[in-house]
This record gives sequence, structure tokens and C-alpha cells, in this order.
Amino acid sequence: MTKKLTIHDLAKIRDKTKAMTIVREGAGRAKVTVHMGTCGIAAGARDIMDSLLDEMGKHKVRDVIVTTSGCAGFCNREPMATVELKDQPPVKYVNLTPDKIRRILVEHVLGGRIVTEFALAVGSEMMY
Amino acid sequence: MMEDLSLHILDVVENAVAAGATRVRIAVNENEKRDVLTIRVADNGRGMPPEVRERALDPFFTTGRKRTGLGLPLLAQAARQSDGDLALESAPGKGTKVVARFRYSHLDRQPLTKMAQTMLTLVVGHPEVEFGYRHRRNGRDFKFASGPYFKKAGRAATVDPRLVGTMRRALQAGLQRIGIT
Repeated sequence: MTKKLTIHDLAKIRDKTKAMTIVREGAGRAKVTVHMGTCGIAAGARDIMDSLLDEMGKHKVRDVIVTTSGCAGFCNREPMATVELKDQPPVKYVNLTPDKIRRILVEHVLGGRIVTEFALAVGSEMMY
Repeated sequence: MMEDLSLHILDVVENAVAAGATRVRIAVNENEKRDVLTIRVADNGRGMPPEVRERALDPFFTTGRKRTGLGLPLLAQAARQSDGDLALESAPGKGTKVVARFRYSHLDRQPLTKMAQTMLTLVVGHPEVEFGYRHRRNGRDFKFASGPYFKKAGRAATVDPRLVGTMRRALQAGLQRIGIT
């Protein structure tokens, strides 16, 4: 069955695209997506979101977009988050804990250095 | 397995948002006298055609590409194991309504916990969606709507920690007033 595109879908696409272009056009420093599918939620994604918001409050960060998404297909590596810095490819972080996401905010989002030890893969030869 | 009912609520509402909802109403009613706890989630998303609606409670049935298909079945199981049930109403163009009932005092009823965290996650993650949340506990009411907060602050895509703090405090204080810590 083909899906019918409704006006709500279009509004959603508009908002999502707007969120993406804001990073590209410079209004936001970065976008952090916390994966909030059933698997992510069961694994503790809500605590990850809570810690992220708390840490952002501590550092008074006002130019970061935070959003949630569904399952990325790596349910066994949840909780996960994707960090996208302006003009840089997105980085997926896996097996997160509240402490790890706090470190990722400080080192990657604010400091610009990828926290490689928490990333899903570095390089291209990792198989699942 | 979800640890508590507020995580189930988060999951069902994420589904609503994924279905294109722009308005989601969440109602929780705890009534110890009648020994019942009810969770209602109603959205104005695209709704499900009958063939999807029929199978929506089957474990691992999903219309998403990578999704798990366990969200609603897990909630239905949580309701049934505490002597309750789950009703699902949905039609294309009419949105979806999920009503889960639990026997309040049942030993296997999961605790609600952390509703403030669930609401905050939803509201911050989807500023484009209007969330209405009503929590009634033994006759005492708490209501929260995300719309006014964003109207005042402007619907910016970036997160303002001050706004997050304000909403967090409003949720926690409101829930505390009706006896939820």
C-alpha cells in the first residue's frame, strides 16, 4: 500500500528540514538526536535525554538543537544518540549512560572533538 | 520490557508523533477508590487503516522499516498482567486513541514514576507538536500544556535551557501538588 502524504506530514517535513538547515546556516552550533524508539526507551534513552538537558543547563548552552528519533536498527547498542556539528558528518554514539552523554556534550558538541571510544564505528571496516 | 508506565507513555506518544500528529493529548487517571488506573493517549496523526489496526497489537508487527513492533504489544501485556486491558481506536484521517486500564492495587501493576521526565523529553524533542497533559489522582487535577510556553518563547528549533528549567519545575511542582513525588 502506498502511503498518502497528509498536510501533517508536510508540516513535519518542513519542521525537520528547518531544524537541519538551521545548523547548516549557522543559527545552531549542533544537533543532538536521542534515539527514542521502543528499544531505546527500554534501554534508558529518557535518562540520556534528561542528563543531556541538565548538562546543557549547567553550561548555559543555547544554540543546540535537541530532538528525538525512532529506532536506527541497532537495538542491541541502545541507548544511542547522533551528534551533528555544523558542516560535519553526523556521529552515532552507542551504549550510552548519563555520564557518557555529559562527556559527549562537553567534548564533542562544545569542544569539537569526537569522543571516539563511545562512537559506533571509526573507519569503515566494522561489520554487524 | 519497560521499567515503568511512564516509559510506555513516552513510547506510545513517540509513535503518535511519528504518525504525523501535531496535537497529542495525554491523560492519566489514578483512582484508588475504584481501584483503577487509566492511561489515554489521543493524537491527530494520520491514523491506521483497518488492516494495520487489526494487527497493531501483534508482537513484531510494524509498518516501519527498521522498527521493532513491540511498543503497543508491550503496553497491552502490562495492562493484561495487572487485570486490565487495552483499547485501540484508529482510522485514516481520524487519528489514534489508545486507552490502557490497570487494576491499581494489582501486585503486577508497574509503577508510573517519572511522568515529569517523560513529558519534558516529549516537549523538548518535539517543539512543533502541541502536547496536552492531564493527570488526575484521587480527584485532584494537574494540567500542563506545552503550547503557551513556546508561544511566549517563540518556537525556536534550538533548546533554551531556561525554558527547559521552567517547564521542568512546572511539571514537578504540579505533580507534587496532587500527591506525586
